[in-house]
Amino acid sequence: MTFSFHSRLTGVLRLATTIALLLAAPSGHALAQTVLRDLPERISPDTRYILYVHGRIIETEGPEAVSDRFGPYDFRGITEALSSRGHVVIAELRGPGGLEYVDTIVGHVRTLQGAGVPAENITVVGFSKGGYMTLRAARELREPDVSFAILAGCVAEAVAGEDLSADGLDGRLLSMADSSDDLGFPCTPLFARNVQLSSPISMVFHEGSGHGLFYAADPVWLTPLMDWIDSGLPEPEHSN
Amino acid sequence: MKRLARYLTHPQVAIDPNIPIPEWGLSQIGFARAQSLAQARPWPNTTRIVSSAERKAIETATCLAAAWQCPMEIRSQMHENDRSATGFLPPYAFEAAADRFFAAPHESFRGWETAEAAQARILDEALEYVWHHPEGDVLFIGHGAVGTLLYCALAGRPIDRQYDQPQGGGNWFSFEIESRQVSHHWRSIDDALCVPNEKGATRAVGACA
Repeated sequence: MTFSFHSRLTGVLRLATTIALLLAAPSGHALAQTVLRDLPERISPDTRYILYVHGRIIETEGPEAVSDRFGPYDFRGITEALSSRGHVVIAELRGPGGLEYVDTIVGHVRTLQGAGVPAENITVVGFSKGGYMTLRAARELREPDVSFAILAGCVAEAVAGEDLSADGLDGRLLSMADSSDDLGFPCTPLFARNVQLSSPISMVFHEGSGHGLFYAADPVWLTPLMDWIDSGLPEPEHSN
Repeated sequence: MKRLARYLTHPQVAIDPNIPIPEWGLSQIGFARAQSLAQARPWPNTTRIVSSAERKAIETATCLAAAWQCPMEIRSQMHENDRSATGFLPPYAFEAAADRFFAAPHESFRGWETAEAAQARILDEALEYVWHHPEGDVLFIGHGAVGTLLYCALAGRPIDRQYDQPQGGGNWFSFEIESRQVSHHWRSIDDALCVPNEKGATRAVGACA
């Protein structure tokens, strides 16, 4: 049964929809870390949201997935790290399928915006297949102020221009990939084709870990990702 | 047309003794200088920006990459000389340690990476990259000590602190990729703001008066 992992976990996930942690930051300030498994019932317009779209392996293996090639997928560590600066992270677990989850991403962004969340407070981060679907969602949404981070999500066809289904996309775009990755590539050529994009950034790492770079909650990529997300936010108002 | 590689040090950082040095970010002044350089676009033939993985370097590189529509690459081995054995040192102690680092390049100061080892590392990184990057100019974003060591190696100079960058960071030197010949010693990015841009106009930004 293709949904076996889902049927096992459904009950647990329903009960554990929200993981809310209070951790002490290095500076001593307490930061609320919130990782959700679905959109919250009450959406706060003042909150910054990150939608994390996981890779394909979790569709079939679940959040504790271990790849023969890349090792454990630290889904929990990654999503908690993404929430470490006060963003609310929505990290749904989807079942096996095609690209229909693109519509879900689009729907979630629209719902957040409909509830009053400014576009610049919304970021979609997708890895591998999730990254490709994030690209497609950016094409559907065409929201210049929503941020989209593509982690090893540009497939060879999209890079080569044989797959143009994401062309015409808009948004704040960041591409991250390792130079030794043979599955997901830097989106640089796709960005170059899409001149409507304002200041897209393509970061290539040379860690030698290939696709597995984004399996780990590694500050090597998480810190620049979070810095990039935060750099798109309006300047905070200072008070003396 | 000769292809150039430029090695640029990150500008001013926000010093926080409570966090590891590689995690320090740019200060407001540092950001402002990086943004001025980004807006001035003095090096239009740059096709790649290659950054150390340290936060202050990535912040500088991201600023430039976004403005110049340039892909950026992050190489962990381009880090500053490894000083984790001592961690943060107050300025007077740091200056004395840096003097020692350059004066005795084969010795480790209290567990620091030696200057000779750091020089071999940064030289390998820079040359390996430009060797495999066949088009356009390359801009490296890195750090003062290893940048100075790279300069010394390329210029055929002995390791000596007299070749260190001026205070404040945000300085660069250039070398010609094919011949590896150094074009000039450290210059401040405030000078780069005066360089004619791709349209031949000279920007009057910052110190360019």
